[in-house]
Amino acid sequence: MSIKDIKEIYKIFEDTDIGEVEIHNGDQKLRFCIGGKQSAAPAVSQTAPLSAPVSQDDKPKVQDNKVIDVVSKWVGFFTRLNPKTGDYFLKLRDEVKKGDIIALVRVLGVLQEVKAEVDGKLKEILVEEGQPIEYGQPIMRIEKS
Amino acid sequence: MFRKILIANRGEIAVRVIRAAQELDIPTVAIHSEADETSLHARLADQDICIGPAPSSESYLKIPAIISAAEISGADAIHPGYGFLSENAKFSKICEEHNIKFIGPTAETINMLGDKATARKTMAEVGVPVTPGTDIITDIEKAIGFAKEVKFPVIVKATAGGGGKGMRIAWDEHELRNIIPIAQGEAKANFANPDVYLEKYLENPRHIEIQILADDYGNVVYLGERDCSVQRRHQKLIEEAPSPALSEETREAMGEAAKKGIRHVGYSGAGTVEFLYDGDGNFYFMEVNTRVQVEHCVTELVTNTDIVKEQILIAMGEKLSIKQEDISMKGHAIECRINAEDPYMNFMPTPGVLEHLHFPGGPGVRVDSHTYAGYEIPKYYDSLIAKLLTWGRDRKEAIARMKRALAEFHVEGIKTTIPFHQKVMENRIFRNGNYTTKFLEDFKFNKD
Repeated sequence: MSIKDIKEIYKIFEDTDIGEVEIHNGDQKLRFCIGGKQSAAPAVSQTAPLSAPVSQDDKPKVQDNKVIDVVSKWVGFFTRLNPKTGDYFLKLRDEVKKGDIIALVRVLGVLQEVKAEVDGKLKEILVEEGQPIEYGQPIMRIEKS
Repeated sequence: MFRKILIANRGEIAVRVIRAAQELDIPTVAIHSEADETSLHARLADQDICIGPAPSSESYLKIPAIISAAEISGADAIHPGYGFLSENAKFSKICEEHNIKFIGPTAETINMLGDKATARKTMAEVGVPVTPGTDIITDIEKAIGFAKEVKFPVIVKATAGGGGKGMRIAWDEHELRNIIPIAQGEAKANFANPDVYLEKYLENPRHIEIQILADDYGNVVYLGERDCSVQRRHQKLIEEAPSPALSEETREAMGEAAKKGIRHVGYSGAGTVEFLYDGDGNFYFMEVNTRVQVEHCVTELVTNTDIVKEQILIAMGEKLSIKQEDISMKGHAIECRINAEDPYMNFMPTPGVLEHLHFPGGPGVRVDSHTYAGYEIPKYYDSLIAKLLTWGRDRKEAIARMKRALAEFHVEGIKTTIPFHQKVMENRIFRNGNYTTKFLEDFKFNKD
């Protein structure tokens, strides 16, 4: 694999909705992963006292300082497809603004909107298209800008 | 056969239903709030779905979230347990509209029996004795005339009330004049329905209820009675079967009356017909609970039946497998409700972590619970942590076993009602079986 090949592959990877890819070519191994390796929590949260109260009602849940979990407020079926356009509301690495609709939950036939609660970039999608989800379930991760 | 049963409840009753379904080989779905993630019902079910935050109004009472949970899990039946939505006609109707079988009576039946004044009238139509009473009060003078006729005291009841709420006693005319508008105001505020009616107030009755099973084909049986007279502020604390107060004739008359009333309304499922008993062979219809009761297990122990399984089978459209002549009560059973409450502090709730927990065992002991060592009792729900039941060949043996079991029951971390039950088991009046619903008013309970 030449550098050119790697660049080409990366370009294709960037345009897709895949979070992680590993390519084997003989002895060579190439691996792309969105956001790099799972980043360790910043020191500040690691040194936080264990007894610090964590409110269960705090939403969105904070994974670390920069990455925010988007959690479902409904019980239903998850979809990222915009019924008006047939396209995804958002793809991996897309920029998102606070208040943007980023997904829907179909609850008894009614589509409920999932909105971004911060500005940032879509870092991870945690559930499959059409998957049933429960209340409080993390469905996406947004990297705050 | 149901594909999957969703249990729209929590706590010990959710566990009870899961156990029944498992024995029938039906997969189960538990729903839970965020506060109940570690509750046993969520762990025992084949699938569990979080439906909302801790407050019941946002979870266990939230109909769309529950129905949606049934939809995403593919459940085709919902067992409502007791409390929460179990006697909610709207919920029963919504289940039906979504092609989900509500394990309980139809919305129409729940509505008819849930409205106390209508229920009384319906029961009286077929000769079920009711306490002398009025229809909905529209004219205070008429109500006073009635009270004078049957002699004070009388009780003003909200037709939409229940569980001890929406009731006021009047001892004379002056008091009654004052109480009626207050009761109407309270009923409107609490139940969104201001209708109240009057009943002759029995001063020293026993609370005796008949367990009923009825199928879709008009077959009705009664599984004997339960005596639930040990109550604190209308909340039952100890129940037993059979009642130490009933003669065989009264038992049969009560059972047959309950059957007649249930058949008259075309009831299907498990239900309970509650009566007040005056200790002298006279009984009066109070209400029908259109669900499984907390205390159903005492009946199961003496009749060797499984009421929850029967309930599920009836909802699946099966015919009752038991006939009245096959049912008899054998031995004696007692239930003590072990609550997370401090009996020395006016039964104040004591939520917290059960640091150590050991349930009693041995012959004739049954414990129904959703708790385990390390479990944290959430502050949001009722305080029942376990139902402790004992069975004996006679009442004496059942009491002796209860004393033994209460002593074996070990809880650390929170205060419970165990010391209260131990004291009752030693009480002369309780042991004689001569108690009424007034028993706890005179019961002295100190730390001594």
